[in-house]
Amino acid sequence: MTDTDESSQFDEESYPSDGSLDYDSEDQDMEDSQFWEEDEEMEPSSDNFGAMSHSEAIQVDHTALAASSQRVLEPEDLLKGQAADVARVSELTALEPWRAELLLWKDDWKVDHVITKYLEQGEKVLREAGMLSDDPVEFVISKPRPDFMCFLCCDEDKATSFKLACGHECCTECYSHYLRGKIQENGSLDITCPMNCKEIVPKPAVMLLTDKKLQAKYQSTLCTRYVRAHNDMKWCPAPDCGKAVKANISVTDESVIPIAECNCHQQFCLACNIDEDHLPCPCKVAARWLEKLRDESETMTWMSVNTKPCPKCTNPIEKNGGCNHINCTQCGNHFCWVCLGDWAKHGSSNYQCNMYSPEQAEEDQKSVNAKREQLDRYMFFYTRYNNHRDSAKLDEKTYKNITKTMETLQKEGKMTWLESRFLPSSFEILRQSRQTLLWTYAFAFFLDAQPEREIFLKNQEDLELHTEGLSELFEYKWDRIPGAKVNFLDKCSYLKSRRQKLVEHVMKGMEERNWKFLN
Amino acid sequence: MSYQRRIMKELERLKTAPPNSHITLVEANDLETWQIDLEVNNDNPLYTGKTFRLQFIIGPNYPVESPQVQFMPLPARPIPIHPHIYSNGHICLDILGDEWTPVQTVASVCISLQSMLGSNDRDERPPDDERYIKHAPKNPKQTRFVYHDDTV
Ligand SMILES: [Zn+2]
Ligand SMILES: [Zn+2]
Ligand SMILES: [Zn+2]
Ligand SMILES: [Zn+2]
Ligand SMILES: [Zn+2]
Ligand SMILES: [Zn+2]
Ligand SMILES: [Zn+2]
Repeated sequence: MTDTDESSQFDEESYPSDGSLDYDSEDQDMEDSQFWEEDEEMEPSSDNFGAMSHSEAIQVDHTALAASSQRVLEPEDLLKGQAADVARVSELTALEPWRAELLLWKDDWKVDHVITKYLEQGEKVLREAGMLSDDPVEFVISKPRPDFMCFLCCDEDKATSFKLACGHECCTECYSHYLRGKIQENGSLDITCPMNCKEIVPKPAVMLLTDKKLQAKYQSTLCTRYVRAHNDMKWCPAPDCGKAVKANISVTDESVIPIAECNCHQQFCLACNIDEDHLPCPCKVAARWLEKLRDESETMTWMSVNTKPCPKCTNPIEKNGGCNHINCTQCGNHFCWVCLGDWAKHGSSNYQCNMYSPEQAEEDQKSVNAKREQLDRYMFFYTRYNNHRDSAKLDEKTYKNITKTMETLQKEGKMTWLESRFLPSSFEILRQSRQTLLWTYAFAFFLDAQPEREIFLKNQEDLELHTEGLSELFEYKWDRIPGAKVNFLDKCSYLKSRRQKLVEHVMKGMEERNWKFLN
Repeated sequence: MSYQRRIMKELERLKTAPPNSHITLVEANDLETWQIDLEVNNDNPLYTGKTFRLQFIIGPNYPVESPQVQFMPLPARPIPIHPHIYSNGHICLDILGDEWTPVQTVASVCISLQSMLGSNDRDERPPDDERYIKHAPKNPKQTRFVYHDDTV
């Protein structure tokens, strides 16, 4: 890279206003700063509420505590990132950029690995990646020739033709048609010569033979692969968002929970496939909980008064007639409704439970009770988890009213738009607290008895109490809002610190590997 | 559709100048399904005097992708007995699968099948015939054939 290149990428705006520039560090971070230029402090200017004045602002932790270092990547950033990798490999291997890109694509964009492999093994690497020749290639469309016949359409009088290093030549019309089909099927750098030989059709050839729309599709397929190849990057799961987030910390470290937040406000975990903020639950615990929810969803009918669990498989049985002989449809167990004992012991003579033995009954009851107890325990946590989920949905309704309230306050001359900015910020705190709160129930469910557990439960209780407190404030009619502003601000700053405390307590335990979970 | 001209051309040639007198285009009402009668062009006692019916289905990506080819059982058109031909008419032949290239044509596939029959001296079905036809997909292209020893 030349000096002129370097200077050209800093436009005037990116110089610090005081004019100082640390040239040394700029130089060092060259590669990186191009791509992962540190974002400025997250400014909520992209929301619907205009710029936030700092004096009024309630500072919102947009991202989870442990993942404060993340970078949202627009499609252009992704392209720049790929280009920077390609340039680097190309420079160090002296390969043409399209060859470098093909090698990167084949080896999951592991830049250093690609460079080392090529320098060690040379052209063998090119062959394996689908480049049959290392002669310099010019991607050009050939003029019509009398001796040429296209092997796809068998036309002899075609205008123009194209071929790769493998020599399989067909007319440009057929080539374009072929590429169109492949690109529409999500092909990118895996598209091979139409002759079904191993030669890859490289990017410059694709660009030569396709229109803008197909090129865009081709490029986005490449981007998808690029993001997938990096375990610290993930596409934002919000539909049609099209941005990705990159973590600037290790996402494989089990003691961090890298919750990302996209510019579109979608939150998701970079280390697992849960598309929301699951703090304070470690990924594994959160996954266990979600699995539990799935498993138990059928068992829920248990709680209804008219059902009893099959003593063998716990499948809920509903008694719909007078007969006490129950035949479980799930496991085929025959049992007595009254005592839950084996039906065979009741004899075939009558349909009454006449086998009542206190010992047996007690034993049966014990096993049922144990299962019941387990379920009750689960239900305790589940109800609270679910309740916060439901409340979050109700809160969303509240949120829709906030703008209206702000408008009313303004119209009635009670508060300026700026003065009422604390409402949306407070709402964000409420939303966050609920989100954390609901996952605390998942965490607590798996938590084994230990002294730290009591502290956790205390934190949880405290967070819950004040979350509901804030939630109540949002139910005020608009004319009570100005008087409650201080109250809002107090509650928010308290909640914020409580949430932080709770999460930090959990994280500290994770770092020290102190938490003991139930199996 | 860019490849259409090629298909028309192939069809025209097969009609007017088939590779030999034992390959006969019976019908190709649409450009998609072709019926062809095939006989061996030598005196292999296993097949002489018999006529077999081949069906080609030409997909939208032909000739980039191979056609779907199989023998069809009809009155007076048996399925040839051959160690690479299943009793439902499916054929285990590499050029119809992985080894397909767009330079192959319907005619060249017919010639390959003709020589596959002409050189065979084993009056038997594939060893896994019974099992295969029980679970076989309708489209033989969906079968991942492990190509039998092709010296047979
Ligand atoms: Zn052509
Ligand atoms: Zn080729
Ligand atoms: Zn997004
Ligand atoms: Zn996670
Ligand atoms: Zn009964
Ligand atoms: Zn049962
Ligand atoms: Zn009983």
